[in-house]
Amino acid sequence: MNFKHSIIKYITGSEAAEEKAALDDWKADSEENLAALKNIVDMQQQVSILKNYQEVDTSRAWANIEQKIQQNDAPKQKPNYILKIAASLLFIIAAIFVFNKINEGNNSVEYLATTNKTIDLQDGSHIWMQKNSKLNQTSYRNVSLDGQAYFDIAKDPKTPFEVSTHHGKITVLGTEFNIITSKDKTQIYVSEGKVKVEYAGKKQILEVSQMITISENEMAVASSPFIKPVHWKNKILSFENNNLRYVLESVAIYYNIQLDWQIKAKEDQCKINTVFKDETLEDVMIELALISGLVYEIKGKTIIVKSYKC
Amino acid sequence: LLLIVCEVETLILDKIAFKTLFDDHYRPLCNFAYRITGDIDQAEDIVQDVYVKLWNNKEMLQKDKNVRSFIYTMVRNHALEIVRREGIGARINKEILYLHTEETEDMIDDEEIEKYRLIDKIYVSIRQLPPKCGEVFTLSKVNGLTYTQIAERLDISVKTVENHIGKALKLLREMLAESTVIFIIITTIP
Repeated sequence: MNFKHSIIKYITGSEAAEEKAALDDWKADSEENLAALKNIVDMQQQVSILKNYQEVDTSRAWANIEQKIQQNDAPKQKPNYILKIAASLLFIIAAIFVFNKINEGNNSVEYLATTNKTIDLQDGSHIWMQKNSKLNQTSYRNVSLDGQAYFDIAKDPKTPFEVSTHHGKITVLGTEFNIITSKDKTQIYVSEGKVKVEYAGKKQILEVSQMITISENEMAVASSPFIKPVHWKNKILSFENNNLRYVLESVAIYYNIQLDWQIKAKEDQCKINTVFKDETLEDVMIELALISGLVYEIKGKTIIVKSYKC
Repeated sequence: LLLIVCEVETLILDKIAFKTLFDDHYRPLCNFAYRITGDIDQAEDIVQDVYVKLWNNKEMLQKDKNVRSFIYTMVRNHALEIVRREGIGARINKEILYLHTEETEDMIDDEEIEKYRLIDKIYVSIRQLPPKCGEVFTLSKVNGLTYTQIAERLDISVKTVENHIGKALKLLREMLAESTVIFIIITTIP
C-alpha cells in the first residue's frame, strides 16, 4: 500500500473506502503516524493558503470599523440622573479640553517613509514618498519636504499648494511634479501643468517635462532627455531598446544619485528592455547586472560603472 | 477633573491598542475566514463585525489576557455559523472539515494564529520582490512548476530561472529572518 499516495488522496478528499480504512488504521497505529499525517496536511494547507491568498483593503476596512464603533458608542450615553448629566458634561468639556490641547500643541503632521509609500491628504492630493523621505504638513495646503516625493495635487484655484524645500518654495494650483531635495541641491521635475519656483528672491515658472536644479545660489532649467513625465506619474521606469548608458542616466536621475561612467569604449551596444515598478535602487541595479553583466559599485551617492558584457 | 482626564486618556490608549490589534491581524484573519467561507467579501464582513463586537465589549476583554486567541475563535465560530446557516456547505472542503468539525468550543491556539500571520508575511515579502523574480519564485515554489517548465513558459533560459530563484531566496531570507521555520518549509516545497 502506497501511503504517500493515499495521504494525498486523503487531503484532496478522493480516497476510496478501503484506502480510507487502511489509512485510519495506520493513523491510529501510533502517535508518530498521526503527527506525520498532521504535518503533511499542515504543509499542504500552508501552500494552499498562500496559493489562494486574498488581498484586502485594510484602510477601507478600518474606516468601516471606525464608523461602526462610533455609531455604537454614541447611543450608550443615556444619563438617567442629574449627577450623570453633570458627569458627562464634565467629561465632554474635559475631552474637548484635552483634544484642543493636542491640536494646539501639535498642529503639524509629520510623515516619515520607512518604505516607499503614498500619503493621501485631506484636500484630495496624493503624495508618493520615496523611502527615507520626510514630509511635514504644516497646514491644510502647506508641506515641507526632505528627500524625494512625487506630488499629485488636487486643483483648488483659491488655495495654492505650497511645498518648502531646502532651496526655496514651490507654489502650484493643481498639477503633478516630482521633487528631490537635500542640503546640497534641489531638483524639481514637472509632469503636468505649471509650477512656480521661488528661491533667493528669484522666480521661475516651469512647464511640462522641464526640470530645474537649484544649488547654492544657482538655478538651472533644462529639459531632461532621460526621463519622461510618465516615469514619475506611474512610478515606473520603462525601457524599450534603450542603450545601457541611457538607462543608467535615467536611473541616476530617478534615484537622485550621481553616475560615474568609467567605460572607455565609444559604442554602447547593450540594448535594454525592462520595466521597474516602484523598486529600490539596489534591486534595479541587481536586475540590470543580471541582464547586462554590468559590473558596478554604489559608493555613497554615486554609482560607479566599471564594465558590462552583453 | 484629573480623574476624568485620566479616563479620556485611557480611552485614547484603548483606541491605539485596538488599532494595533487591527493592523496586526486584519489581513491574516480575513484569509483565515476565507478558508471557511470561500468568499472574501463575506470573510471581510465577518472579521469587521468581530472587531466591532470586540470594541463594544472591551471592558470584558481586559480580564482575558489572550485577546488574539479570542478574536480568531470568534471569527471562526462566526464564519462556521454563517456557512451552516446559508447552507454553503458544498464550498467547505475536506481539509476544513478535518480541522473544524467538532471543535467550535475550543479556542484557537497560538500555533494556528502564527501560521496565518507568517503566511501573510510571506505573501507580503514575495510581493516586495522585483516583479520577474517574484513571478519565477511563485511559479516554482507555490505552483510547483519545474525550472524547465518555467523557462519555457517565460521564454527565458534555465540558468536565468536559477538566478531568479537564488536572488529571491536571498531577499526572502533577509525579509523573513526571524521566521526560519516557515522559511524552511517554503524552501523545501518541491
